[in-house]
Amino acid sequence: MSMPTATGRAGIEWLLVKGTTCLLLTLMLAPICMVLVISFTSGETLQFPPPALSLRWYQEVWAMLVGPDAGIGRLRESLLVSLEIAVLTSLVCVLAGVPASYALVRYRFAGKTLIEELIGLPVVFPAVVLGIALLVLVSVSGLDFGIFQIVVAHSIIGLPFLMRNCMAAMRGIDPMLEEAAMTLGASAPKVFREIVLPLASGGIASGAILVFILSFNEFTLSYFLYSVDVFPLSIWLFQQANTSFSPAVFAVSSLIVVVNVAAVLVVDTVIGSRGSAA
Amino acid sequence: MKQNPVLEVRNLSRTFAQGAVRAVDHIDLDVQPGEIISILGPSGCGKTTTMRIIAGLESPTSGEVRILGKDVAGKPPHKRNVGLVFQSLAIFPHMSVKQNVAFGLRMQGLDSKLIETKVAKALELVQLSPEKFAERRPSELSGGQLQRVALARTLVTEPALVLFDEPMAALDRRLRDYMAVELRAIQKQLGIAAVYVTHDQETASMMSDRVIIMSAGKILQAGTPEEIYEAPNSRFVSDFLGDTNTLRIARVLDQEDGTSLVQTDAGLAIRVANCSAIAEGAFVIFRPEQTVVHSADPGGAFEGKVVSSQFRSGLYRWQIVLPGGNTLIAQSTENRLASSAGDTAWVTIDSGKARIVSQ
Repeated sequence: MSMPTATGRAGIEWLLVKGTTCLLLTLMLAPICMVLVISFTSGETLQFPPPALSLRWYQEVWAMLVGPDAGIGRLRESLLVSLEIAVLTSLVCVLAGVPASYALVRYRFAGKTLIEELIGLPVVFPAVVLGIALLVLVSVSGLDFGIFQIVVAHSIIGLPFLMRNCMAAMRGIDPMLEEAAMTLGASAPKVFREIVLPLASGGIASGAILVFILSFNEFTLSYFLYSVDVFPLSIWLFQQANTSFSPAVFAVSSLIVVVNVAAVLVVDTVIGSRGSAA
Repeated sequence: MKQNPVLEVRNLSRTFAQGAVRAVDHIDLDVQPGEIISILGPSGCGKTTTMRIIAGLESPTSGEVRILGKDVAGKPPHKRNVGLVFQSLAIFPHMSVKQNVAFGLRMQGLDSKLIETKVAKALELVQLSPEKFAERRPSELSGGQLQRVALARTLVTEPALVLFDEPMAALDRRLRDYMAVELRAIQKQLGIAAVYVTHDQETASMMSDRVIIMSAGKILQAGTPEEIYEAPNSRFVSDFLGDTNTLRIARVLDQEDGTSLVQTDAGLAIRVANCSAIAEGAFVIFRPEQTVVHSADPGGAFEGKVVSSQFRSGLYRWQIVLPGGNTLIAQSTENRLASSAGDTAWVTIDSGKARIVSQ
C-alpha cells in the first residue's frame, strides 16, 4: 500500500530534518567522544582506536590528585584554584548582577539603554584584546592581585550571562505582586527579599551555574593573567598537552566534561522544578 | 459627635505626558468610617489611578490625600495602613495560602503564635476552612477561592482603609453577585471603610453606600446608588447605569408650576414634571421601566411600530420606533404586548420620572 502524497513528502522532509540533526550532533560530539574513548586506553600513547581498554590513566590521575606525590604534577593545586576562581566569579556576578538586573527590569533612568547595550558587549568582545588590556592594567598598577585578577576578568565575561538569565526571570514577575507586598507593609528591601528573590531564584541559580562553567573552562583570559601561584586547570591542561601528551591529559579532560555535564543537568533540574512549582 | 472621615481626597490631579493627559482632574471625595463607596466609570476614566494614588503606588501631580486626618504626601505604601485588593489578586505564587495571609502580619513583626491565630480567624471570616486550605498552594485554588485568600490577606492586617480594584472582574456573574453580597456583609460586620473601584454598575450598586461616577478624570456625579439611578445629572451617567431613552429637545411648548411640555426634534410632545430652567440643546431622558406599552390606544400615548421584543430574567422588553424616527425601549414585568415585530403599539411615559439634562 502506497503512502498518500502529502504524508510521503512530509516523510522526506522529516528524514532530512532527522539526517541534518544527526550529522550536526555527530560533528559536535565526535571530538569529545574521541577524548573519552582514548582516556580509557591501556597503551602509552594517544592511539585511536585504543589497543585495549583500561582504567590505568584514571588511576594515574587519581594518584596525581590524592597520592603521596600529589604536589609534584600540580594537578590538584590547579583544580582547586580553578574551582576557587569559578566559585568566586559566580559570587561576584550574583552580587553585582542581581541588583543590577532588578534596576534594569523595574526602573526607568537616564542611560538605561546604554547600560543594557554595554552589558552585552563582553560577549562579542575578542577575549584576546580584553586579556591584553587587563594584563596592561595589572602591569601598570604594579600590584599583584593574585587570584582576583582572574576572578575580575572572568566576572566581566560572566556578568552578561548571569544578567540575561536573571533579567528574564525578573521580567516574569508580575509587578502587582511587589505592589501587593508593599500595601501589606513590606518596605522595598523586604519586597526584594520576600518576593523578588524567591521568584527569580531559578534564573539566578541557573545564571550562577552557567558563570561557574564559563569560568571553570575559560582559557584565553586566564592565559594572560595566570601566574606561578595561580595556575588554573585550563592552563595546566594546555601546558601538559604542549609538553607530554600523555593519555592522563585525556583522562583529566574527560573528568572536566563530566563536571560540565553535571552542572548543566543541575541547571535543568533547577529550572525544571521552578517551572512546575509556579 | 461626628467622626473624622477615614479618607479625604482634596483637589487631586494626576497628569501624564507633561500635562497633556489628565488622568485625574481635580477630584474631591470623602469616605466616612464604616462606609464603602464605589468609584464607577469606564476603563481609562482615572478611577484606578485615583486608587493607586490613595494607596501610595503613584504620586499625584497636585492635591492632597488625608488618611485618618493626616496628610500622607510622600509616605510610601507600606506606611499608609491602606489595604489593596488587586484586580489580578496578586496572590504570591511561591507561598501557601497560610503564608500569603500571614505575610502582612509578618511584616508588622507580630510573633508567630499570634499570627497563627489571626490567620485562622481571617480564613474563617472569608469561609475558607483553615484545616482544609491553609497548606494549599495558590495553583490548587479556584478563582473564587483565590478571591477569598486575597480578601483575607488584606483584611487580616486591619487597615484603616481597604481599596478594591475590581477584584471580581474575572468571576462569572453569579459568583460575582454572591461575592459582592458576602463582601458587603463582611465589610458591615467589621465596620471597614472601603473604596471599591469598578466599571460594573450592578456590583457597585450592590456594594456601596455611595457611588461616584467618573469620566475622563472628573467626577460627574456622587450620591447613593438610588439617587444616581433615579436622578442622573447627565446622559453619560444615565447611560452608564442602564439603558436610557434619550430624546433631544427642540423647543419648550409650555411651562408652568415646574412642569414643562417639551417637543423633541422628532416632533413628540412630552410632559416633564419637576424641572425649572431648560437650556438650549437639552435632552429628556427616561428609563425603559418608566414607560408603559399598550396594545390599544389609551389616549395621549405615542403610536409606534414594534421593531423587536425580548424576554430576559422575568422582564419583557420592546424596541418601538416612533413616526419621527426615534426608537424607544420599553420594559415591563408583564407581557403587555402579545405582538410581533411590525405591529402597532402605544407608549406612555411616566412624566414624574422623566428628567431633563443639559448634556
